[in-house]
Amino acid sequence: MELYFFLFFAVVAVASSVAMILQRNPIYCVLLLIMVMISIAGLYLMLDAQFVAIIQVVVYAGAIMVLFLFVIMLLNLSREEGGAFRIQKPLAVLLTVLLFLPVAAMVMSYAGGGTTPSADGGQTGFGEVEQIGSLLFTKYLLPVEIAAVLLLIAIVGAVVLTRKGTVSVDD
Amino acid sequence: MNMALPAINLYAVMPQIFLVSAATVVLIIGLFERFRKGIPYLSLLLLAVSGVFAVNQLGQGPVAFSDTSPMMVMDDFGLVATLVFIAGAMLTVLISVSYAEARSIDRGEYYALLIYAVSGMSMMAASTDLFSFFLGLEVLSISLYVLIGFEQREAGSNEGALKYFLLGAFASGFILYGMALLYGASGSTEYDVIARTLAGERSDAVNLLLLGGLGLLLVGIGFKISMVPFHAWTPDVYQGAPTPVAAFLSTGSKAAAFVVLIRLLGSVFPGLQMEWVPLISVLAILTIAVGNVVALVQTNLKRLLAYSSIAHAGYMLLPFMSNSQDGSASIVFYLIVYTAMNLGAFGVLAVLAARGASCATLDDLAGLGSRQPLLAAVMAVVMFSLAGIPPTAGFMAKFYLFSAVVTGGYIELAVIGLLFSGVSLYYYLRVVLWMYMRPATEAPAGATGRLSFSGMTALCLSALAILAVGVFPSELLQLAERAVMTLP
Repeated sequence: MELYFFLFFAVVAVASSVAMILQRNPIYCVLLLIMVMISIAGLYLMLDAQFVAIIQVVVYAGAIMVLFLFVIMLLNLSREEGGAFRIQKPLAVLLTVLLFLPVAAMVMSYAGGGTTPSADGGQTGFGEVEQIGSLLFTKYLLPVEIAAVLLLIAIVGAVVLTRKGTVSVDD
Repeated sequence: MNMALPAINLYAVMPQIFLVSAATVVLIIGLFERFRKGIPYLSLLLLAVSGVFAVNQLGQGPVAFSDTSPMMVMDDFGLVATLVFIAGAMLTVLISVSYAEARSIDRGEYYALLIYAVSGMSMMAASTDLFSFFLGLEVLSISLYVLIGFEQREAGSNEGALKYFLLGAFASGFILYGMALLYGASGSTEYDVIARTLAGERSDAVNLLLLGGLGLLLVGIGFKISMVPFHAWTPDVYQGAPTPVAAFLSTGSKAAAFVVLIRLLGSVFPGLQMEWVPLISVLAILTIAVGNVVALVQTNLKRLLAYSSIAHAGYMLLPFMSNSQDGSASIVFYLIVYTAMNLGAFGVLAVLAARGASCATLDDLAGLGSRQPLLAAVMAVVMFSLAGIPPTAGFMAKFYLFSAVVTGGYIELAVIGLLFSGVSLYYYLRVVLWMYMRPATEAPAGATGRLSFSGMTALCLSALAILAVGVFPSELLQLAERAVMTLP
């Protein structure tokens, strides 16, 4: 049963990402990307990571993709401009194939009985908000604090870069 | 539920706490228009205070943030690196004062972001965990994206910011993928655990994961230090960025990435040395060759310095091969000297640009020797040092660096490096030639007259430091050696 669910989510994820790349209309691209996100959320669910799955849907499929849609609609991008990247296309295909081979070799070597480093699966409470919360306040205390600084810098940066010109505020 | 809070040691992250608080204070005070003129000096003061505290912590042994998950450690290596970053930032603030006023970008956010960037670099240097390393890297990168684009009305500044942002985000992606593979192989993000996985028995699959992870990390870090073939952004970004920011970018962010590389290659990945030594030696030679050869044909000064900084990154990659304490010490020494030299070179351009004088190309420097004798003298010292001519610090740095490479048994690498270093004489001395031997065709606007006091202070300080270290290098070398002693 689990295998069928996995296959379903995996096929949907791969198919929608391929379709997304082939699609020329940016709006369709975004919608297909949401499909990818949701099917990946399904994969997280199967890994017992309920919290991550929900976050995936709420943050990525919800908030971030809506932002994408807004930007695309505001910029009024209707269609990708053709004609560019004439030389790059065959080169990209070649390089992708070259990169794919070692990755494929890696995957094959797993099938041959490599180790699969597993998370603490099966443990009670794994993937629940409670456990993630306590990890954030114990093991990952310092990174959480740094992330706060990071967000502050991002906000300051956004304000600095979007302020029109240098409006003097002294009056 | 019962949650045992871990025993944490705030003393271990003091330098970072000081820097973040300093930046936040500058950010808040900067909101008040009446303190506008004082902001650079406040930044200098707070940076100096953080520096003094870091000096006090020197030699207090490695102290980890927490025993259960160290994340960051306070040791001499991280502290010396932090001190170098703070010194670089202080010089950058000094050369920024007049430039920022002339371009009306003298806002509190500018200085605050500069200090935030320093805190990010300090986090990178102190990290003993991939988590905190990545967050430090992002703190640094996001501050830099904004700083590069600070001159909103300049098309070049916007272009540089966008280029650095897109490529930088891409590089961060590579680093994250690499970390994911390393986590998959070892089950932890701690440097120590990854090193232990490497030291123990490992299956082929785990080996592949580790190799893939290291390779992807090298791509991302290679981008930050502008290692060929990930260097293409460097000239465009340096050219477009505000000149003091370019100075900071070419010294601080590069130094931070090198410091992380010393920690990673020296204490985490020695087990894969057979694999990465050939890779890095080829890339180092390529970096030296491309940097020096392309710099020969540059007439734009910022682009010339950009290619020269690529070449210097190449030299600094060479001692990694021997993977000895001498090698690491020579890299730290080179980084300190390089920070002073490059800040000096970009500083001259910034001080000139603040006067409204155009200083884009070599021709603009013609006759500088008679118009601005002191400035030209500083530039000459810096150029001699970059070229590695005694009695400047650049010579000493190159001397220790290449002798560490030779002691490590990589004589052919040292020979190739030195040959290209000879090539570099041409373009460094050409700048000196233009300043002293070419008369100016017409006196450009703002070419004469008083230069900014703070800028000249910074420049004279770095020129004096270059000469002093060139004559008496032992103190600084001892500091560098002491720094790498604490590395496992």
